[in-house]
Amino acid sequence: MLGMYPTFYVPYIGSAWVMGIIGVIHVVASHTSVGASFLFAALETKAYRDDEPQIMVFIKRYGVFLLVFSYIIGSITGPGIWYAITVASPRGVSGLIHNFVWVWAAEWVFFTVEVIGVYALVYLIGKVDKLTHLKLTWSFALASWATMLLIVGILSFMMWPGSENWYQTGSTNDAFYNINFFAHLGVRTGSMFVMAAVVGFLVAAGIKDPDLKRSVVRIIAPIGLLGGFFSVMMFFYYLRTLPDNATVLLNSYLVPQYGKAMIFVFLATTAYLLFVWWKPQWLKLGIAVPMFLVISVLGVWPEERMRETMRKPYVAGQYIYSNQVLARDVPGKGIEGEVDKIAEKGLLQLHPFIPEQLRTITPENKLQVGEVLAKVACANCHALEPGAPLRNIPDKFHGATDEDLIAAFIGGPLKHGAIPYMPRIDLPQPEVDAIAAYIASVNQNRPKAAGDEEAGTPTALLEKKDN
Amino acid sequence: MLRNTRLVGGLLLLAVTAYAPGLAHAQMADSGAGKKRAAVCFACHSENGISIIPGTPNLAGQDQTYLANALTAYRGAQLRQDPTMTAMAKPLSDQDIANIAAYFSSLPRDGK
Repeated sequence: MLGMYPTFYVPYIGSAWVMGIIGVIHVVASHTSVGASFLFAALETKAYRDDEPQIMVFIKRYGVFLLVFSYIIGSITGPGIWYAITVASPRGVSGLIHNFVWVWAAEWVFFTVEVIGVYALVYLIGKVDKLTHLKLTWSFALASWATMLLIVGILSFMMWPGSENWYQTGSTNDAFYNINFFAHLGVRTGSMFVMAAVVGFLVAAGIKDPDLKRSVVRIIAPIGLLGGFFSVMMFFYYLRTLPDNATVLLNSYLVPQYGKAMIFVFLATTAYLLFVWWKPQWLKLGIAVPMFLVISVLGVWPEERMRETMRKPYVAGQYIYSNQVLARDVPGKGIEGEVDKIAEKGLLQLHPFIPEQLRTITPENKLQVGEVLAKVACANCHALEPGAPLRNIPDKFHGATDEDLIAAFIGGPLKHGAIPYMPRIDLPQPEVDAIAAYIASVNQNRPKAAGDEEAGTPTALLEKKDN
Repeated sequence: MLRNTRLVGGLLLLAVTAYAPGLAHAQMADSGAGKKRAAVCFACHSENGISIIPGTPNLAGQDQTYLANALTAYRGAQLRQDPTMTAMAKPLSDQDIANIAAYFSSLPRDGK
């Protein structure tokens, strides 16, 4: 038996995008709050040293905004990610918990400090002496960053451990301090200042007092710019710490798709920060809100999507495939690879949640079995509906309706792991044939393009798309 | 005159057919049918014949005879052995091979 987990499938967008959408909202909220905590610390240090109590007015304002915006949204989406990944990728989560349970425990301790800290920070302004409050703010900032540091160790292990050590030792330290860790932490640490500056401008835009506005903006803008510059530098370092499959995906798909958007966001953000630094009084909600939306959506979505995509075919540590199959032995954890076991016995026998009437293939249930198998083996990364946004299989096969060639692809390139970003999928021939029959039938029954009677065949559809 | 034109046309057709590379069985290669049959091949070699996966060759504008010979050899698994390509070539008929070779060889080499 494979792990005792059912397979979930969300039609069209796939469970991966459910996770992705929740994740992006979470990243925007959490990076803003971590970055803002350091902005508060910097602002309050200046307020304390130069005796400028009016800056505390801004901190209180931003703090309340943060409580409502970041902490509520962040705290809802955080558990939302847990629910989503448990459903989408149960064995991936299981693998991570078995590596990092104490790291997560530590993260939640810091998170508790962070949440209590933000309430204390907002409501104790003026109620405790200034030095105590300043210490509180710095403690809050460090606890916030600690949550990020701990989670980045786990996220970067998901990309890969970077050496053979962890597979042999199974040690949490070998997993946590992986080759990817410092670069990834640097990228996020830099970008959290950018996020915090952009959200800070959102709050500063509403300030009436021009002097306060100027002095606040002139502290925030350079911190955001330096953070952005640091983040970009660390991103280039990050690119050098990636496994080969990630490099292939980057060059083949991701840079052509997202490269321009990333450069655009970088230039737009830099220009925005410089402009507001230069002309603080021009900062209005009408500029700050759209810029926040552009930077958070166009900036964070491609970045997160790239990181998630580059990891393929694995979901974690280059030992669990995205389709929840253990790809290799990990002696340090007593884990044995499952690919060859599946080749021998088949998914229909080994997967615990196949409906009984589908465990044996008959001419009547062949298509239905094929659909279930496609969901189990493929649907974690590939939607099954033509035209769907999550790398849908019918389009990936270019509308092919030839069962024999689809079966040949599964029994050739996939079986032998010839494609660097696809898992090795080796199935008994009847299961291969069932999947092939299902995919061919989906392509045969493709909906015709609206208002186009000629586009009767898949080939015609494709030709049309290419023109 | 008309008769002559027909004769020349017929001779030309004969010559073209005889010299048409890769067509051992003298079928007319149909690149449209080849494109349809080759849909699965595009997963690695791309529809425009320019591969984006390292280690996978571009087929756009490749010599037609060479393509047909390569596929035939992969299919036989004697002259050329490759777990991926042997599996992919196995289901192909001679006509399929001729058509697919015609399709990829007809593509522009720069992929445009």
